[in-house]
Amino acid sequence: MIEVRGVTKRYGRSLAVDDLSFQVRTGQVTGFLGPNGAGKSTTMRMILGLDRPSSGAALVDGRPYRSFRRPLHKVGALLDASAFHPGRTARDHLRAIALSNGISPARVAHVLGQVGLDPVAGKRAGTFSLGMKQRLGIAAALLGDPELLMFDEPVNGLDPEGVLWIRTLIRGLAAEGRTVFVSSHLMSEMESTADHLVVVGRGRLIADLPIRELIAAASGAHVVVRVAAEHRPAMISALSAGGAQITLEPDGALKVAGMDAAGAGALAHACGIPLAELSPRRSSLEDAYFELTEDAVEYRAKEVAA
Amino acid sequence: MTLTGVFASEWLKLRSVRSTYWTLGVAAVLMPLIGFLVAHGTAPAEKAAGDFDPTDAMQGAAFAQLAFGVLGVLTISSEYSTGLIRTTFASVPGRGTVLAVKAAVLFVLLLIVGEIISTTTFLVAQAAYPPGLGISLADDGALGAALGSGFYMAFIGMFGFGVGAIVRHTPGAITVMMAVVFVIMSILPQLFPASVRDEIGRYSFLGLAHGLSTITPIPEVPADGTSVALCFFYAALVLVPAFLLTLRRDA
Repeated sequence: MIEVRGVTKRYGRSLAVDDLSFQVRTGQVTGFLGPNGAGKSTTMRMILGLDRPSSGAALVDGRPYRSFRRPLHKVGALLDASAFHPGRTARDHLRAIALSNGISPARVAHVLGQVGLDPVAGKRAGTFSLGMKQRLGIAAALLGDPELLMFDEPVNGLDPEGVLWIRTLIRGLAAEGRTVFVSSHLMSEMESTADHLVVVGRGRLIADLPIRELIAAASGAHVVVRVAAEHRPAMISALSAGGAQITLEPDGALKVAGMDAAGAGALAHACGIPLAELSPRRSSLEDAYFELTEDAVEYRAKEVAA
Repeated sequence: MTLTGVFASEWLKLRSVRSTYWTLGVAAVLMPLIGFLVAHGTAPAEKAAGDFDPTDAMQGAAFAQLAFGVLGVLTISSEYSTGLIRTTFASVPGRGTVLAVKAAVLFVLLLIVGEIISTTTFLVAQAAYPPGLGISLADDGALGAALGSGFYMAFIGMFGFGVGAIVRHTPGAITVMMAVVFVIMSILPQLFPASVRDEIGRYSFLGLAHGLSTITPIPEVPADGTSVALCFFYAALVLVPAFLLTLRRDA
């Protein structure tokens, strides 16, 4: 388990992380979400003992990361996909990391196979495509067979195939019972992978909740009901009698809140009104996320005056 | 056990990149070549004139030391410029251990290679001198002169390592290292009045290099023991801050 306790990180006058507290629970995929510059990478570096918090503490299993003698068996991390010497081969890169933690060459070969870099293991890593670099970084994170994995923006810049590969990998790691802490600035990435979300903006905690709750809390979930114009008044009175709030859209559709699709359908049936359309609209997570972080976006493009 | 692993890891890092072979290779070609040319071009008459020293042929160290210094810088700065240092410190959170092991592995490699290069240069040069000028390794002080340059170059490598760990940026660190080696420690004494110039010059890098490679004790340079001690002192001047900063700074 990762525990971030009241962590603040100041760089000169600017505050990168501001009294941030949250936990990454064991056996879950926790998404670490926030706009660029929200302090996600800084927080991850502090968890790994690379950056020192100005105040507060980041702990792994109740201990500072720096107190682990062979931390790779506990935590595997991918911070930056290009963090290797471009002239060193993929295999030597991994072997050097493995040696420092007493990890066997057989394990190096295994992770190379696992990420599909077998055929290029003897090539200099500087010649790799972004997708291959990402795989090399993941291989390094997996070396110690750690129960906890941290990935910082793992899909950034990847092609669709690479994105899919990372998603599948993360789900697979979670299915093996591992804890995964993965950051992203895109909600859509989290929708399909995370169980739990920690949302930050401007270094502060905005939300810490299961992803299901965010979906439920997302305002604006509604049902669109469309009926022929002559049935509209009857439909409206039936719906409002049923306790729904109705908004008439310009195109004649009824936007119904406070009632689900089944309820609206049953009402129409009871009144003998034929339905032209009955569709539940879930407010997307992207919208929910945008609402959450709206005030926290650090750099927003100003609208250009025409 | 872990310490052994860290040693193995750092040794693998050093020998798995081409810059190690390039820098040491350049030094290994350049220094004996310069030694050969200097010795070959020496006229027998110079001995009669009295200003002949058979170790003059070791002056190629002035170029070879640069290659050693650059390798010293790269050993640490390349990890910072690529971001690999974060992986390294996340793997071995004991930063002091990492830095000490890196320094030790580098020093041993530089010392061994440096001694091979300088001894080779000595032998090549002495064989290339016109008859009657060359000396043998068995002659008084000859072995010390042959090994002195190798030690001096290894020292410059460690000096570069310290600068690299402080500056953490390859071009910046190489520039600083060259500025110190060539300008501050070599040319600067020339700017002082003649009365103190020699006194300052003795303790410059140039003075050390000369003192360590010469066969005849001359008043302008410190004795070998003093020179070696000064090398350690100058290395400590950058290595101590390098350690303190590495422990304190964010990676």
